[in-house]
Amino acid sequence: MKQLSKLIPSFWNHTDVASVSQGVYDFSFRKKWKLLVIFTSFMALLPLFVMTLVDLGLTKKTINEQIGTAQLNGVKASVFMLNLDENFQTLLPDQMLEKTQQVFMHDSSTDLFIIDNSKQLATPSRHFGSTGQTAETIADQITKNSGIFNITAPGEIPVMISYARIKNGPYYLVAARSMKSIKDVWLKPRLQLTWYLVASILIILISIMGLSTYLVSRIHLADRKRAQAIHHAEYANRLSSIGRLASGVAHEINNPLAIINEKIGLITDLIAMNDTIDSEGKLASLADDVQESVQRCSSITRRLQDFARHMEPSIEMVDVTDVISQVLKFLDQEAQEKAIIINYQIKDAPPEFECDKGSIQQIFLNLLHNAFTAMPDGGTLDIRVHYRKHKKMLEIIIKDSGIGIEQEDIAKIFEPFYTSQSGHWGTGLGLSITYNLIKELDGQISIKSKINEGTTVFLEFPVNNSKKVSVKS
Amino acid sequence: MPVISIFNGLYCNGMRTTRKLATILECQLYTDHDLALSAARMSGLDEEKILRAFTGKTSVFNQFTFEKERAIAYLRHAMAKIMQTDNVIVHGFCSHLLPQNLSNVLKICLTASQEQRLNNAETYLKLTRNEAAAVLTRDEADRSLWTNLLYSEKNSCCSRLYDLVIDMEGKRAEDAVAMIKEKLASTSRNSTEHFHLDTQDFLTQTLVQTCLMDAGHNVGVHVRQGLVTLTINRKVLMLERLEKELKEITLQISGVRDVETRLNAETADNTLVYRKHNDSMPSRLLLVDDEKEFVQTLSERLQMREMGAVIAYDGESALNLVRSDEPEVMIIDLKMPGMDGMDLLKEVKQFRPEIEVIVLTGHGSEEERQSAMKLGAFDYMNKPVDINMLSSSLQKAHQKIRAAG
Repeated sequence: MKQLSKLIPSFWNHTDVASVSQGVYDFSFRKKWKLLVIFTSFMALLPLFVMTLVDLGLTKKTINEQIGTAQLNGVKASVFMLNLDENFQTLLPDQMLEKTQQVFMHDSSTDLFIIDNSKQLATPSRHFGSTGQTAETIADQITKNSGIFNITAPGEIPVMISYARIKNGPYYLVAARSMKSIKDVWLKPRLQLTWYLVASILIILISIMGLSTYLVSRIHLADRKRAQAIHHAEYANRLSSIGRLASGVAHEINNPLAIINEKIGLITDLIAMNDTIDSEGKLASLADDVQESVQRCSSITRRLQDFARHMEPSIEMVDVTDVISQVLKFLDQEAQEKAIIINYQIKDAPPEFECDKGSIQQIFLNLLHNAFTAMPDGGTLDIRVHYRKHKKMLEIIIKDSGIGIEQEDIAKIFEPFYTSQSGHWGTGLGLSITYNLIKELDGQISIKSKINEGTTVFLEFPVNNSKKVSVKS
Repeated sequence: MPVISIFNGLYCNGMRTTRKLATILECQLYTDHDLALSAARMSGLDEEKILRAFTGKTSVFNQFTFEKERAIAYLRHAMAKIMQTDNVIVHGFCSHLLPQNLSNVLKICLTASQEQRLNNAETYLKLTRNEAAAVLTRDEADRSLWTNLLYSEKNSCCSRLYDLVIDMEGKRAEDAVAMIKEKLASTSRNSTEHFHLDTQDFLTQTLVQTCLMDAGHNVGVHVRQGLVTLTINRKVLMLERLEKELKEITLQISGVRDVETRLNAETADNTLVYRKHNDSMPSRLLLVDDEKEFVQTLSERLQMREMGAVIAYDGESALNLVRSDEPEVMIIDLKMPGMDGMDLLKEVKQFRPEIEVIVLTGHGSEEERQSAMKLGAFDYMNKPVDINMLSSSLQKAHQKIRAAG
């Protein structure tokens, strides 16, 4: 059963993730495949069958005619020969029959006998009885000097009969042949062809099924690629609108923040100028606290704006270690809440190089976020940056002590829509996008993991100052 | 011999009358120009700036720079100097700068009807009636503002301001002269010694005033026999320090025996705070931002740091101010409705490139910064802004302008 299940193509059980929820456009690949196979098979095999049947019919008719003609001619020729014999008058029916059998091509399937005009058999007949018996059915049909007709012999046997009158006498020479024996003439060779027919049907069916499967698989693949591209674009779109939102919010907040800053600054100034208020006292320190908070807010909005700015791709000189620090700062709060210890080591800092800062940010945001998600109850996160000067390669290792990934899942995690988190935030696209981004940077990513021990992500990409990286977004 | 002051509107035949009078009485005649020249020499200001004190055009920055007050102080001082000699006639706006309490001053005003003046202008100065009318209106407005400033009297020919008002209708210069001579004869005078003491006090008073103004202080000065009384007309935040400083400066002046300071009870409770003018600090700042709360507070904080700032709430009004006044440094917010901050920067740099511009924004991208600097901005800062960084940048801009002359 397992072998059979391997044969099942990938689209057989395909359910479009989006369409299940929408329910509107439910494209079933299975149905389409079935339709394709049935229709094509039908159109291919129908003519085959029709041709075969028509050919059979035609052959039967021709051979019947040929055999009939031959039989009649044989009988007539025999009678003609008999008529030429001088001793004809003296001959008894048996003797006449013997004579004809010398001429008549002896065929074991032919029943040759003589019948007289009083419907009595002069010689024994295989089909119609022994000498002296009456053959009513034949006699009725014998109307002329010679002829051919079909009749049902006793025992429900259809026969073909040819007769000829022997020299104006009472006797007729009759040749009878069962239709069944005639059938054998044209059917048996035909039956041999049956094997060819079956073989060709099989071949046709297999080819059709194979081609259909191939076609539908390709469509399915293309469809998946399209869906992936659309999701990628939607994701990027969502990100950029988040970016715009963040930037807008930050800017909006900066204005009232500036007002607070100035007003509290004025209060501080007035306190300093006023001789009666103690400038070291409670009022002054309260004002100081407010200003500190304003500074904090201000740095948050600045970080937000900084981050949002990189939603649009732009090539610039990037210091990877800076970007990692930035991303870590973002996740700082979460790290504290979850009691995650972060070890960030730089061994041989890499030089700045040209690339899209947003991509780098995205990559690390995804990977670090995944690491955090794997450690819901705390743990350690090791990040090591190692620049190999001689190879001009930048190696980054991200190791978490989280729940890990199953061995068999590791191969699939870069696939789009594969996710361990269900729900609206787990689109399953994070790693597939990360993978693409790394590929765009001509980099490599690989993952090792052990359940409940942790996951290690190995990143590697070339650092080349002069290369212009093309950005596809 | 008394001092005669003559004040008249344009085209009243005033100058001719005055000259005749000076010749007949064998007095020295001093006009506005003479005194302005003297004041300019003493103060180091442009003569034009001094003369501007007579017009209604006061800079919006005057509240910080006290330019007008300084000009008037020097004019007064110039006048005090000329009054050390006898036989002086003062003609023009300066005639009102004589001290009120001086007894041997004959204050004369010459006036005439509108019709008469326009005729005079046409006949003697070959002006068209329309031209003359326009000039006349402006001049009358200036004079009205002048007397209003000095006496809170909008009618510049009001009789309470003068000993004698002569209507020149139908009169020639000679007639007016005769009338003045008559008045002179009939007026009783105090002893010349008394007069000398008064003029001495006047000289000391004006000297103290100019010295204090040079130090940036705008206070009322009264001198009686060497005793100086300084009146502070605004609420003071650090009274002791101010009084100490004022006394220090004043006691060094010759002719001063003692100094006392007092607060003007009426205005001391005013919300306006006393600020001195510091020459080394930028005092002609223009803040442009549509966020009222922010920009008003910023302006206040800058003033507390001895930097004078006025506010415009959008690009258009800012440009109007740039065209009609002389701001030194501008602080512009980028995101404004109507004219954008960048556009305003461009306009200002094209129109008055000597103005230094500092860009403030809540937004802040590197490209924005670069394009602002390329357009000629002096500096670029993010909101919320650190007041100390802004102050230091403003001072640097001010120094740059000073150095450029």
